[in-house]
Amino acid sequence: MAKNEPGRDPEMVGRTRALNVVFALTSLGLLVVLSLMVWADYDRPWKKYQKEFTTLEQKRTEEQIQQAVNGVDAARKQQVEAQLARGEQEAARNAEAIRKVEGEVRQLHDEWYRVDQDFRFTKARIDVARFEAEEAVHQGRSNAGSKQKTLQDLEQRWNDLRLQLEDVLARRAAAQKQVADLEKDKLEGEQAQKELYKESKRLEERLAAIQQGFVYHVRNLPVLDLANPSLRINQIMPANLYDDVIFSPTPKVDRCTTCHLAIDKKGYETAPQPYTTHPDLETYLQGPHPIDRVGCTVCHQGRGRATSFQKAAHTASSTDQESAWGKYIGHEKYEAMHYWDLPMMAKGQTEAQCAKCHQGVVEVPQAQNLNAGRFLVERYGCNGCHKIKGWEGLRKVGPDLNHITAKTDPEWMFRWIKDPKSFRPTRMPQVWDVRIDETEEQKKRNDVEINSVVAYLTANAQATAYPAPPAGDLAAGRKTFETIGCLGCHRVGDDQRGMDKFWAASYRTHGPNLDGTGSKVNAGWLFAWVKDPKGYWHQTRMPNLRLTDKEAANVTAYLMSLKHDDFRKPAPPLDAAIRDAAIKEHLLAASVPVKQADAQIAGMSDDQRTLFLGEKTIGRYGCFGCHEIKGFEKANPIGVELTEQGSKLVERLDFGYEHGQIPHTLPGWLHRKVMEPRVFDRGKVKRPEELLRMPKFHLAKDEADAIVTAIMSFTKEQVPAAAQKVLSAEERYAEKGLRLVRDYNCRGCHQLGTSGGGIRKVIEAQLEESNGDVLQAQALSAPMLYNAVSRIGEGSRVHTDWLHGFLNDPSQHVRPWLELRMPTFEFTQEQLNAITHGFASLDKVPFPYAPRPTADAETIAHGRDLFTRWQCVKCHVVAGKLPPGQEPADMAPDLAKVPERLRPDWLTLWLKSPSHIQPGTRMPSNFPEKAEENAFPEILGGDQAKQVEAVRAYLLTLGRGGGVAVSESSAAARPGGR
Amino acid sequence: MGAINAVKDAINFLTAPAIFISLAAVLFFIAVPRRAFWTRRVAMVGTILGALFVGVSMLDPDFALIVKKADNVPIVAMLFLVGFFLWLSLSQAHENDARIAAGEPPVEGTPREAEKTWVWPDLVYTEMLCMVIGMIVLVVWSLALAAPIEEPANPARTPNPSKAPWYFLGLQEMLVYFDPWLAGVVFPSLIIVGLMAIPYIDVNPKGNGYFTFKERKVEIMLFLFGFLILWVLLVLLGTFLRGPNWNFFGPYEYWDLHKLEALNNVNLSEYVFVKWTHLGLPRNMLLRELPGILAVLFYVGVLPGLLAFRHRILGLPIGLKKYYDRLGPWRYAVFVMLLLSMIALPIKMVLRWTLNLKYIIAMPEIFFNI
Repeated sequence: MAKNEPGRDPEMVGRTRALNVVFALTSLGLLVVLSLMVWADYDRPWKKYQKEFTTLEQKRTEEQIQQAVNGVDAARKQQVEAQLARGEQEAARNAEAIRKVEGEVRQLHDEWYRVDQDFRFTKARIDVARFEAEEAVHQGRSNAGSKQKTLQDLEQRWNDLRLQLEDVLARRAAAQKQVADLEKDKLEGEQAQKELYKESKRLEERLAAIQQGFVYHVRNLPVLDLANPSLRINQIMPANLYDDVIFSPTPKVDRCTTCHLAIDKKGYETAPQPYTTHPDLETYLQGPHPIDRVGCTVCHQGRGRATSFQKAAHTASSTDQESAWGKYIGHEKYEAMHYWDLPMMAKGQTEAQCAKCHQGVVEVPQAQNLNAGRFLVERYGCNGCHKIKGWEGLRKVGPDLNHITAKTDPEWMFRWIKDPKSFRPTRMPQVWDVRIDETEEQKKRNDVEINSVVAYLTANAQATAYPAPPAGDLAAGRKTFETIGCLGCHRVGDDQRGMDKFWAASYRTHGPNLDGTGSKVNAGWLFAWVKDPKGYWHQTRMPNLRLTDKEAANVTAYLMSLKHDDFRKPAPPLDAAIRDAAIKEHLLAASVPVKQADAQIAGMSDDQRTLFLGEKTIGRYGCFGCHEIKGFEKANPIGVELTEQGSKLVERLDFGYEHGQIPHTLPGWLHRKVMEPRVFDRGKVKRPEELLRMPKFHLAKDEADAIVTAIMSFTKEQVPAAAQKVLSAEERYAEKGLRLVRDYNCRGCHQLGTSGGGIRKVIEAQLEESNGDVLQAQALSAPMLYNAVSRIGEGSRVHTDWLHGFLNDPSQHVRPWLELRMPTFEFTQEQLNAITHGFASLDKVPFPYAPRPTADAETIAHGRDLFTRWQCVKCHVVAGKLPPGQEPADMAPDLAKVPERLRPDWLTLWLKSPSHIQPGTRMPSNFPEKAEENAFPEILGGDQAKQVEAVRAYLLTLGRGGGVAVSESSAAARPGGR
Repeated sequence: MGAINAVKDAINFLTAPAIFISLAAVLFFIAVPRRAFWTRRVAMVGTILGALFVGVSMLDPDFALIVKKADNVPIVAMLFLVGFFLWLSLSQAHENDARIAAGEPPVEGTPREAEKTWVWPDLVYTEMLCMVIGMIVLVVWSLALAAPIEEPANPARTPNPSKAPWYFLGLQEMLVYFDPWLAGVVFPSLIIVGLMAIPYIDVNPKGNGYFTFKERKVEIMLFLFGFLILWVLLVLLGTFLRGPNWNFFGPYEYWDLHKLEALNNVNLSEYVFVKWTHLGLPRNMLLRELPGILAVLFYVGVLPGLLAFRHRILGLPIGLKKYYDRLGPWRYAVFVMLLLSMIALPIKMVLRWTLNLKYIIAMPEIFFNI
């Protein structure tokens, strides 16, 4: 090849040209790609939401401005305009003078500017001089003296300047006043106009701030948006809350408000998501859980730092929602973010998170679903089979079966166990025949298992024979049953009275539905039971109603008449071959060698085999979780521990072949599990001992929702103590009392706060049936124990020692007219203390002793005067003394008991306004607030406070230790007493 | 649908490690030495078929799920790149071999190719263009497939499957067949040492400055076997075919966490003492492992010597006398140790697939297993 000058070689030039073209193309490509990069960085999904929201907000503000402008009073507008016109004229007249004075003001302003600057600079120099002087003196320098001198000079100068400044300011103010006087009307008009358009002005300023104008678009341009964009990520950093990112608690940062822009703004309740206002601002964002301190994810969970839909770990609540949300990830179905252990709470389950911070309370305020769920977990006895930390040691929910044969017979037991719900509504779950794909073979085996369980229970029960009860009157028994309060806890059949809401229904289902009792129990047992429930089962919650023998016989006769006889069919005979096969399978599962197992079975008699299988079956299905059964006193619960179930990771759940049919979430799985406990076995090939064992409770959907919420609240998440709700000592005592109130179903009869008093609906219905006065229902019901409106309850009403005594033995009636009977619960001393302390703490009154006021004789005399004039004894018994011709049942409470029973402070409140404390009471309001309405203005000037105090003082002298002697015979005359 | 499923099942079956690796090895030995496999047409057909296979298979959701995973994209690219460069070198090598056989110089030796090229534009300008293009590729890639962010690291809950970075998946696959100290420590060290030793062991002066296959047949076959079969193929296997619990999953199979595989593997000592002689396992550990120890001693102690002095063993042309003569005792010793270590992997694989052999020497008492 010829050697040319490199630059002139035609081949080289050609190659360079070709490469130039490639270079041009690739450079262009790089430019495009880099632009794409900038765009990709700029184009974030949340910006779209912010723009949309700004448009929404703009539209809304424009509407509001229009409203505000339209709302301005036309007459006032005219008036202001006229004033302004007058002002203009006035200003024109005084134009010359105004101009002159304004010139003066300007001059003074300039002077002020100069002096003020001098003044402030001198101050700065003083600070320097002071420091230098201090240092010079401290270090003993020779120039210390001159430094001090400088400081003094400066201070002198500063004082002079101050005087000058004040002088200038005074002169300027005077000149300004002169101007204002010259154009007085004009200025006032302007002020009035400003006032008139205040609201629309404010809105216009707001509109200007959010308007998507030129500035808005420039601020938010790619690259330029690094300065001060209006589209920006909003974040909240709540105090004391952390995300547990494995070994390193990281402070929570919630960016949810980047898209949920109106979450704390009123007025967007109906706006589409994500712009909807929070459904309960008063309780949450603007209430006791302020958004800037609590944030979002501590309650809702999810990934707070995320700014896109899926990365925020949104959780679908149903398969429908999964399909609807598919668009967010570009798939047919939404899939939750896999890499975050705390997925957002699905709709309806957020309350589960309340329990993290609200610990040690019976009910979390407002958390209906959570409270219901936790209540149901306890009522259905989930804790019997599943260990839940903090729920240990609770009473077993089912009855003691160690004396079962005294109560009923094996035939009934078989039918009941096989299908409890076919007998009557019950919380007893169905253990057998509840597989979704149960085969005939399995059903046969189920019958064998049930038969063997019945045999075991029968053989191990210590039967006590109960003699037949005395003959009773069915109609009288029914009357007693329906009036003394049984219906506060029990129902018969499909009785829906007072069952309208979840909690109301829960009170009336506290005890079993008594439908079919006659087909279940024997009369002798029932007679003994209603007379003394604890005699049969010492742990029962059923209280003693102090029935007389006659009453008990009547009630027994009535209850025995409630038959459900078609339920009773003989149990199928026990199939010995299936039984023996089942025994062998149990033995092999326990690693017994095959030959030994055969030998063991061969060595057992027929009965022994049945009992053996019964014992094994009870052990496998965990009947002892709810019932006391002999031989299982120390057995371990069979279920999985639920203490941290709410933190269980989705990938650790076995969805079996339910995949795709239920939401792929923990709550979705749990819901399916509690509704159909054995469903995850469907299509699986399993040996009998591997099959799922949880029984089916036949829950309603909302019950399952509530239970799932409760389970979701069993979390391993730890909230720092500083962020938790800490109960005060008083609240802790109140909770302890409330716990007993729930356990013993006080709300079945008594209203406490906004809930309870279920019996009132029953009484209403009864009154309606008998054409009685329905309005009397309140007065005929058990008294209210806490008034949520006036916040006054039993604690502030009665003395602790009286309440203690009454709860211990309620036979001493307070309200003689009540047919309802306060039962004897046979509380222990600890329980009595807890309840009395609880009520006192709930009302924040002193415990145990209340101060007793003193009164002078004159006040008492006034009180007696009023007492007589108001004829209190017309309604009230005093120390058992009845007015002639009156029955005790028609009378109001015995006033002789006032000093020992009622707290004086409460008495004052009561006398002022009884219905304020006890709505529907028959006690009239005798002491009006206004003196002119007072019936006896001559006494103590008709002053409410003074009159009430006088009556109270007199009442406190009654009864024991008072002015009126207690008649010893009065107690015996009372009805209902034992 | 039935036919499609049958094809999928067949492919799932063929990709099981034993069959897959064996087939690949057979193909390797058939294809690499033959010029007919390295023509343009074959390359074209191969590329089209490969692209077609991946493209059509993407219609299968399970296949697509694994292949589209952002982590796995480089492996797909690697397959095509490895194929391309393999073809490029071997096609040139075979062409040169033909030229040499015809008495012509290799292509690289022709006057035109021997001429020097310019720094500008051939070197500097091209390099700059490559940088620009590289930049474009990287930016587009990072935009199209965002870096996957995973859960916070939790030593108490490792991901399943726990996979090494893609370039180490070959090593991880070795763990199926060897104890960690071998597969994780000794073999990787030997690979690095062995690669460094190549220039000192390789005394064949042929092939300097030009591609050739015939003149460096054994060197190329040995290296490519190690690289393609024992490295690239195992990376591929580890990436696409190993799922939860490190179980094998065919390319069209759903990665079901609950899939089970029976791992009924047996040690050599159990073969000898339990299955064959019915003597029962000796109580003494060394006695028990004697067959394995003898086998290993034979492999590393006797076999090198045996190979050094024979051209053929049992009639097979596997003797290394030629190399012993050419390399001398010291070079030969290093070479043969490296060679035997490399061959140990396929040997162990075959033993595992055919005999369910777990360990040749199994001394868990002292944490020593081979």
